[in-house]
Amino acid sequence: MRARGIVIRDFPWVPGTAEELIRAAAAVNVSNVHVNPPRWIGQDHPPGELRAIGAALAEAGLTITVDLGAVNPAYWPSDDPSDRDGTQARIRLLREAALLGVESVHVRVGSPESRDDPAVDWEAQKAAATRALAALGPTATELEIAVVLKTHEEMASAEAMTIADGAGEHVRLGYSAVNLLAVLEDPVVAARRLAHRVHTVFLDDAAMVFTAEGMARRLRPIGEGIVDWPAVLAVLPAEAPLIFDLHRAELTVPLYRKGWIAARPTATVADILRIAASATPNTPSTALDERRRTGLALLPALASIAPGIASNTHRRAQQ
Amino acid sequence: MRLGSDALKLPDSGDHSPLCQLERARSENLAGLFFRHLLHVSATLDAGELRAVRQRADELGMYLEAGLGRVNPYNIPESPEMRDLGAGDTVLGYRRVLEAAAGIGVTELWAETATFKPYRGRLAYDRFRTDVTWAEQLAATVRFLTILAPIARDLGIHINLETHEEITSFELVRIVEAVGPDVVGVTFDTGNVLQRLEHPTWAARRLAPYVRQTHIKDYDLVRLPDGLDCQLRPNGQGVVDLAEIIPILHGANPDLNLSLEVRPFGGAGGNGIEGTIPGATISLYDPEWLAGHPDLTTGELAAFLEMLQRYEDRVAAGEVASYEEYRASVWDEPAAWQYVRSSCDYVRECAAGAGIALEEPGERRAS
Repeated sequence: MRARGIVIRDFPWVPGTAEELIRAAAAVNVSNVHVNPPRWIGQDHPPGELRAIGAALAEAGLTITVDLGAVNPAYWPSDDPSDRDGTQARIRLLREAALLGVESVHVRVGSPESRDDPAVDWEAQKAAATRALAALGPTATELEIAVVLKTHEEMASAEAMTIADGAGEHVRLGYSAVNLLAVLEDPVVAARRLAHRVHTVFLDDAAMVFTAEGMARRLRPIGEGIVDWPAVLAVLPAEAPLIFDLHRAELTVPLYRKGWIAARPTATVADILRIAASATPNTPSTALDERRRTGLALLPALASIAPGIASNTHRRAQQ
Repeated sequence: MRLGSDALKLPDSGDHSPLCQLERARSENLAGLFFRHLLHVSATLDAGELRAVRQRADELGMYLEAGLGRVNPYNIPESPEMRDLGAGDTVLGYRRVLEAAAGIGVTELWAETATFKPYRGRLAYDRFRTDVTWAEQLAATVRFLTILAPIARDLGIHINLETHEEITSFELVRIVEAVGPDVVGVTFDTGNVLQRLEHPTWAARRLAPYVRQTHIKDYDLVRLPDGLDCQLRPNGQGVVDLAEIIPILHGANPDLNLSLEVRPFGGAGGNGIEGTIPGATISLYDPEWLAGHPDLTTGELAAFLEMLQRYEDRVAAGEVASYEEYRASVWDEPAAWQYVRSSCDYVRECAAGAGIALEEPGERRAS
């Protein structure tokens, strides 16, 4: 059985201490918590304290994964003049994460706004991100921590793959279906494309609706949106943790904005039409509580889907 | 530019002789007629009948265009009259039509690659025939046009393939360039391209250098579970932006004739099957349909969907009738003529808005 997790913000109540975290995870029957934003690291915790927290989590059979935020030094350079691309800060975070027993840290590159900001070319943003991610290679390898690049809202699957390939083997991918919808990708097609490099799967569901600007994402309980999760999980790695991740943003996909689709050369007619075929009337997103209830109830069944391929991303599992 | 009409689709056209059709068109202030086939002017290619129509068109100051019919050998048997004209020799039959047209100074001849069939979904289009591929049909069409080319070239005729329901503008450009733009051109139907998921304005830009005849028309589009359906509408009441298209066409060919193609009524010709087949006519969600459209781009798809959205906004605002409202509306002879008149008015308005002065009937006496 693969690991099942939840993003910390998506508990019915957000835990603030390690003990609360352990109790909250047990209450919803998950073995992993995805910490976003980072707690316990990135602050002034002495190593001993982090080790103690890590030991308590391990004793409870709980792992945490840590979201390190954006890696995009071309668009968001570090405030530290001696570390403009943020590499030294991230290396410190990696070492602190290791003390907590973290096996993967998670990053994104940008946002829809950064991608479409003419002030900093998107290709330059991706190139700088690739270099910054590559710079984490030696430390990540030493600590046996995977650096997981999420298919974020601005990021096409092919672009995520190119960045990972360019950055090195320590960079894996976090598959987020509802974010792929925001760049008009068919989640099943993208899953096939990314499968061999996927480390973590972020579970959520959404409907797509037509709007005056193009399309928009409306969040739905798992199983009631556009994402064919059984088909997706059938092609993704068997051991990839499933992280329950309740998105909030009803993203606009400004398909009709001049230049928007031209700036997304990996988009395809087939994917757009498959999404258009499944578009629904424009009703608001489903309430968070209902999405949480449905998703947590389905999590065990989804985790039991046995895919046909194995990943090479989970190094500790191979040892 | 002059504004006339396809003769076949004008109300009750089938009940009137070609000479009478000219008179009726002139009384509607139309500047010319585009007979779909020269055989509609004279079923026997009788020289006297043909000359009489030419003479009357000239007297009325109207343009005269006609057609050659099917040029795809895989469906030419659907027009057995062409082989009959050659007493069994198909090429001779086509030669006879070409020579008869040239004999009365008709040098722009419409042609088509297939015809809509009364079946559901993609199978209504010969593009998706299961006995012969579309690529084979296109190749055969090029070969046949290459046979006709020297005949047409000697006679000063252009064979103008329509942006018919089954063919894309991309494919037409390739055919024209393969056979030669000195002898093959395009009949641009402003509405049909929708059925190939092409944006009419984008198609106009692609085709403009080769457009020599037109069908000016408009369509409503409506979303259905299995795709889109389209419904003929008077110009200006559908998705087609003639205010954008007419200047594009004028820029490439200021002498182009704009011929309406209106919703058939009564004895008018045409397949008349619109709305009779359940389900979508544009099966864009069908993977096999999509696989048959390799030239589609994401940019044009986005433009198409935006065009649809803006149209739906107009429907929602009550500016134009919905698909159901229009289908339920009265369709009688006065309505059919009102369709013609409002379509003309809209074209004139678009031309005037672009600073294009359409020639009135009678302004040009010699053809």
